[in-house]
Amino acid sequence: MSTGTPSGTGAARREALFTAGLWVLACGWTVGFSAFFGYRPEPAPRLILGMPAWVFGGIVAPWLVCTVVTCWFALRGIRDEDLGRERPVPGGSEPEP
Amino acid sequence: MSGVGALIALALMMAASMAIGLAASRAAESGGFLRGYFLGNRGLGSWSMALTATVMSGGSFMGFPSLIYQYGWTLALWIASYMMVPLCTFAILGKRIGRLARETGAITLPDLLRERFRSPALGIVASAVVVFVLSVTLIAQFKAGAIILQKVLPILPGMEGGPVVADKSAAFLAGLGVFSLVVVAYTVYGGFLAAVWTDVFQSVLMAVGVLVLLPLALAKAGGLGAGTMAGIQAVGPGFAFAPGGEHDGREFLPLTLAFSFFVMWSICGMGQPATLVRLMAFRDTTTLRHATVLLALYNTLIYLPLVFVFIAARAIPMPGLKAPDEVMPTLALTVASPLVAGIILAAPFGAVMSTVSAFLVQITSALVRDLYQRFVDPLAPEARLRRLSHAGIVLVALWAAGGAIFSPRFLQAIIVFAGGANACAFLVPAILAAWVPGATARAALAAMLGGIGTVLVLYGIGWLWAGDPGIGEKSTFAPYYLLGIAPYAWGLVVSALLGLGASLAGAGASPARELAADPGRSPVP
Repeated sequence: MSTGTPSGTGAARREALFTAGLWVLACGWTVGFSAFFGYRPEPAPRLILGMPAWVFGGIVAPWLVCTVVTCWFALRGIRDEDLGRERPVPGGSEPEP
Repeated sequence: MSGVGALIALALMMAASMAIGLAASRAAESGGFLRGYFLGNRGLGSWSMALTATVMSGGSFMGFPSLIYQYGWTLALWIASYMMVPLCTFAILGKRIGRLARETGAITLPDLLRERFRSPALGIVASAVVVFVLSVTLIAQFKAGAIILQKVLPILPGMEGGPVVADKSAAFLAGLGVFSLVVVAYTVYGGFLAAVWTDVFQSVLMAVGVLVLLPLALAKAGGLGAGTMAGIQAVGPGFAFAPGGEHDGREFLPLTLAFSFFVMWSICGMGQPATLVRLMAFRDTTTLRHATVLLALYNTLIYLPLVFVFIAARAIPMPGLKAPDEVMPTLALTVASPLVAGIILAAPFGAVMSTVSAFLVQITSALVRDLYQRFVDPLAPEARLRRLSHAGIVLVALWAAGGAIFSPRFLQAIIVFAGGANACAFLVPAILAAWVPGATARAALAAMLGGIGTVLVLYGIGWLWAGDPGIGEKSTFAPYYLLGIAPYAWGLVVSALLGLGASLAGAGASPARELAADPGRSPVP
């Protein structure tokens, strides 16, 4: 949740691990589903909303789920953090101390 | 009429880009020159972050529809990992790179790696990789921009006829000249912010174009199902299935390549220098969260509809369509008014311009900040750095424009190669920098050289000895697909193994911990 309070590496690590887990699920579902149902050409494929059923089940449906989960996680799961103080940059109008 | 519509739209696009460059120049003036010119004073907002880091390039925006039209529904699988791009891009590295950039005062990606690992050698190698890979890619982008302009610029007396220089016509050279002048002018004025803001502009334009095209195409085709069935009739059952329509005997997307592309878009996208620099430039974590939401919605609204539009196109008669590459402009002119068609055509041109300006800024920053200021004159005054930066952009643009005149044919394949090479060079070092406290400079260097080396070797084998592999897009610059898997996936594996292995084998204190504990310490000279 975005509490507005600073947090350390722990929150960022949890968010990265959540993302990695979701990536594994999305990749496994999409590539796995397509492998089972998308690589068997038929002259008259079953269509859902005008698209082949394997596209709907293997790509469009998980894509919509991922979009919802991403929005939810970005708004509710990722914490706001203080990113620290800016170090002066040598050169330009900010001479090196 | 269609040419006039497209010309007006492109002229408006170029004028808007110049105005954006001027506005960016003013916005970057606060704070120091280097941080303002090359990093936008770490002030990128949500829209700038969402619509510039990972959005499709101009070449892809033109090429993707032609692949859908040729190979059918398998392209939905090809592009599927864009569902994970927003979280992968922002949630894995965003906070850590943002924090590290502030702690180290880094302005460029080589800066960040050099300071994090306290290794000038690593900084030099990173700068060399950025300059080499982006310079090669820049030639292809200049050529793409010139080709688009060549098609719509009016033919003046003396411009007809055959080749003038190196098989290039006078019309091509005129297009190249106009493109180079415009893009150099607004990049010199606005630097990083100009590149970012023009990127936002073209991304919005692309979305508008696709969302306008979707209902028009579906209505004209009689629905998505009609397009699917028309494609099956024209190409065969493979149009509705993977690995794709088999009209030329190729397997466009075997399962191994489907997995490779899932890795490519979502994982390799994280390792692009342009993406990593933006992760150093965002304002705060609220910006990052909102950018994630915006990008998730944007990707869903643009990529799936693009597939629907060009599947439906199969059911739309287009007598003027001579080659699949022309399907986007031809469809736009068939179903929309010339003005709308012009806007749709202007979007990929804007994408090419913004890609070029972003690369110019990155190459120049590597030359001026990472090499000149670090090794030639660390105390160079702002005025000289400004002059050098402007001169650098002009010189790099001249070099790329010259390269575009004498370029070989397989440039589109080079763009794919460069994207993979960049990711294999920078992703694992960035992860080590952000997430592995014990990682050493040696580990980062091994990961960088091992990753890009693997890609170079597999492309070299494919180019010199292996010939056409019969899978993927047909190209004279095809790599060797070891076990059917793309080179960048192998490059990432080798890079990760070397980086983590060297980290485990290495010893000594963690530079990251030292930096975090001592934020006031001066950077390594």
